[in-house]
Amino acid sequence: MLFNTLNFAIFLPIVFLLYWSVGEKNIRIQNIILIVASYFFYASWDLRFLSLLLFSTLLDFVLAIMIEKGSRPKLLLWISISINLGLLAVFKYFDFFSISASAFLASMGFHSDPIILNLVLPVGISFYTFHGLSYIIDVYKKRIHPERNFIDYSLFVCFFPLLVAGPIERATHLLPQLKGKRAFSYTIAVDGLRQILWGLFKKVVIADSCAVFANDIFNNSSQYFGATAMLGAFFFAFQIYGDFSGYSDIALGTAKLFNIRLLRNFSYPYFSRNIAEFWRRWHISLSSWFRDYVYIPLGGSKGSLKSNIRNIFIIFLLSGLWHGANWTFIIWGGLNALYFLPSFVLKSNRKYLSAPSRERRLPSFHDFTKMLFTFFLTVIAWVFFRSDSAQAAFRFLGSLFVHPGSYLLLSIYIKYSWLLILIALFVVVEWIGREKEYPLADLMPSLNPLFRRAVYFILIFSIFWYNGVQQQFIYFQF
Amino acid sequence: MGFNNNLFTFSSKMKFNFYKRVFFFLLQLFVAYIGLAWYVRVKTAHFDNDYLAGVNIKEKLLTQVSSHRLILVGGSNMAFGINSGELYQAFGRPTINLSIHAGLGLNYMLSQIESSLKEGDIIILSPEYFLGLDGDYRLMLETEKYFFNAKKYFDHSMLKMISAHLNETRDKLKNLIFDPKSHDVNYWFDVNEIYNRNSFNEYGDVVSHLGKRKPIITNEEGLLQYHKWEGIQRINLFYAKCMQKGCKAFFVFPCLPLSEYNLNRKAIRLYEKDIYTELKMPVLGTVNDFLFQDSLFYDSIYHLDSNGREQRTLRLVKLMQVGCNFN
Repeated sequence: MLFNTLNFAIFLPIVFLLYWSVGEKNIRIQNIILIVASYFFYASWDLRFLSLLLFSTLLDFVLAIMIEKGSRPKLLLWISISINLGLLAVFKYFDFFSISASAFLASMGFHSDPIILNLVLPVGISFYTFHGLSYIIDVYKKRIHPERNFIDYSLFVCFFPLLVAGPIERATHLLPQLKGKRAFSYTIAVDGLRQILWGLFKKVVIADSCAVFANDIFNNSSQYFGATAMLGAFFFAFQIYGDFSGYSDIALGTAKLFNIRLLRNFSYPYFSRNIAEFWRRWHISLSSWFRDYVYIPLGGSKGSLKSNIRNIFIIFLLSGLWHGANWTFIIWGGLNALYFLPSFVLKSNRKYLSAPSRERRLPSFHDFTKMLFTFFLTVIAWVFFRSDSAQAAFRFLGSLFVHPGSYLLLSIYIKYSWLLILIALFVVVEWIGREKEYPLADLMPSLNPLFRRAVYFILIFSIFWYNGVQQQFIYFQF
Repeated sequence: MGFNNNLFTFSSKMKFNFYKRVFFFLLQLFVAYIGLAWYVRVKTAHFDNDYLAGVNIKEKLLTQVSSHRLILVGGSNMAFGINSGELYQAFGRPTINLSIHAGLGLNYMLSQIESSLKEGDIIILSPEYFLGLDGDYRLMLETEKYFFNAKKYFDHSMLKMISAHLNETRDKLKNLIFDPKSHDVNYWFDVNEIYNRNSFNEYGDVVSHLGKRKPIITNEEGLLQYHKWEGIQRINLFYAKCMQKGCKAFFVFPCLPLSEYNLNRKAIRLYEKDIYTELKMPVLGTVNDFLFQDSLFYDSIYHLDSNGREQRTLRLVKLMQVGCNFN
């Protein structure tokens, strides 16, 4: 069930009421309620793969205990990694690698029919396998003791707000919360509702509105060029941001209703002043996962410049591949690696660690130009992310330069004026709230209650108004 | 770990306070919505028509003819775009045009005919591109108003009713604000002249638009988004039932203006490929066979005018003469 549907609007209050009705002392029962709800939530997507989720959970639970007790922890670790990544490889990447291998052999003069499995991708597999992997690696590295309570561990893997599209949680962060008492907090619950509202606004109003035009322009890219093509890429940039960060806000807000804190996944990435900062603000849980479990074990920033550059390319290419079985995602990852390298080599990748233009109403000219340039780079990279093939992406990029005079034509911008104004207002609100977890946090409690109520009504009305054409959450396909 | 301990509270009074505030907020929202819904329905009440009462006429046609029928099934692309009289003359079979509105969904269309299949029947199925299985719940409720037995063809649920109510309120509000013609009683008089229970001829074809002044062609569907169409599996199930009952069934692509095809070429080509590879029902013709000049359409991208209707019927007759074995 999608977060922006009536089904979820009925499901969530039922789970919430049941959860808090058992009282704060019954942690075990609270967790069981959440597990049942989570499995029900997953089954509503696809009943067939419930057993796969259960298998993945059981596997890492048992192996983690054996790693602590066993005499061959490294072997057990690699068994877990192989099986978890094997599941991903079979369901997500087999056909892609098979077709690519066949095409490569054909280019060398050897012809063979690729073996195609045509398997349906289980929802959320990229996320829950990474949950399991982070847990087993943390146990192996002795950062955490293995969980001996299967209920608590199951909930860590399958907690419904993060089950199908993250954030990718860490056992060190989430498990202690699941094991500890969770008392009802009025302030946190209201904050959670507020964050859900903001997430729905981003998804339904911003993302789905942008999707209509982005899909039109990308699906018919041979007919669009110049400014229109650029607007298509621009709209996609806001579609994917509104979609994914909106989902994350709904997930985090939902978790707060149960007094559980999830890892923040987005921190106003389009206000980044360089690509390094962008990757500290975009899909934070994934980039930090690759940093901690791939980059650092490979040597990280220690060692020669050559090995550092190699490591950077590895994580960005893997990050691209994680998103999908297509060369476009790999190219997108590689492009981001190229973007990242200059700041790494010049040692400015750790330069911008706080919010831009702190305690200023408007950005400085310096910050503004850097943000604009970084945003432009990400929009170009998103063209690969969105396109069906590398050829289509390059054709699209080529079309940006056709009819350069179109960039000065007012009529093109007027055609999309309502959406451009909406996006501008959205950016202003995000800018004002850039130092907070989400723009409405902290802002709302300080407002006059009547004004606050009016803001809620306006947001809810906007969601109602724009909820006509629903688009699938983009990250559900990963 | 993870949250501020200062916010930690064990008070059930806090929970009660929370529930109370949420309840009153939702109550205010509900009252505001009811007010809005009432307002838009009052303002747009005279725009409603009884076009869907046509299902009664079509159901009667099904019962009047006993067997060896030629039955046309689909959305309004078939209702507006076929001259069933010519099909009757070409093939000598009693012809029934069951098509009425794509918004009723593929499940309704197929469920309705499934229960009436008789040995020797020939079905020509032409659903609109990527037609949904379930259809618009508002239209289903309206259909049941005119044809009680339609209940058994629909899947009822409270959630669908609520969703339909919300969608209807939103769409009526948008029409009220953005469509100036919706305020023009004369415009709506013309539209109601086309869409009413008397729009149909003796075969069930819509004929009220023939020779009438054309409004601007609208596309309410927007651009087509390609996806694996779930309708293929549903049609395969239907085809299996046809085979069991000794009927023949054929799939035909819907009519479409060339301009719409150009905008949606990629999605349509992929759809066509899926139809040829996965549909068990034989397919008559191609997508291209049912593309027409924009000038041959009446008021929407699926509704042909009188000339377009004749051209399409002629093409269908030729395809049926080659593809269907009437012996």
